[in-house]
Amino acid sequence: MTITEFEDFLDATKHMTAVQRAEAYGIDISLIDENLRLTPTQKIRQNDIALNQAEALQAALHQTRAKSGIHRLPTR
Amino acid sequence: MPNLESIACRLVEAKVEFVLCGGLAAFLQGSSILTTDVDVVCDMGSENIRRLFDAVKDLHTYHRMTPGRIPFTLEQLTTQPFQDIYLATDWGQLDCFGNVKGIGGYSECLKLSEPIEMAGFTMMTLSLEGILIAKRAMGRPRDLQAVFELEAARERKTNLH
Repeated sequence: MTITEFEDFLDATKHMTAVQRAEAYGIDISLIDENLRLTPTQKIRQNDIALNQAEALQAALHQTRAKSGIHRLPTR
Repeated sequence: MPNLESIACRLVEAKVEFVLCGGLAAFLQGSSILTTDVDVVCDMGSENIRRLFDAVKDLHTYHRMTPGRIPFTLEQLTTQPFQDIYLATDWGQLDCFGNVKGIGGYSECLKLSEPIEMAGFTMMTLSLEGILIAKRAMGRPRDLQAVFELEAARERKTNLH
């Protein structure tokens, strides 16, 4: 989104509530609702779990590529 | 193995004077965007940086923005004043800033912070209003997304009470 497009977006959504504007921007409000239900401890642990899962997935992908000899995705 | 909770806990235990800012603070205040590092604004005086060093000294900590992964050492405290410190540790990245754009240094950030209790410790975290000021000032696309999310979270919180 360019600065002009962003300014147009702000102008077009100025009558909206914050939740409506966020939805118009493409934000999944259910994720925010889910976050607001958690305690700070649950939030930081959820973040850490997600980071560890992402790291494990990256490692698995790396291992699979190394085994198969594929090091990059084919280009079109 | 990423463990941002333990990094934050270490800072508290070592009595580092800091305010949590950045993505983790935004996440704790209601944003849904996950974060890979701990960002703090802190007093960059030598005594506080010494406490910071004590907090992470056994985590193979190095300056991640420098070529050659220069270790974070106590000697650096006497040879160079720090503006910002970008560290990598065994538990994840820890960025320490002297200033937060739109707000100012540690003292100014402290005025816009609130205590958050978690996992048995309490740490000062930028308030929702403080994060909104900082994110608006940063102005990158991901910051603006966080602004929309946090404004929505604030509205949801207001409607809940």
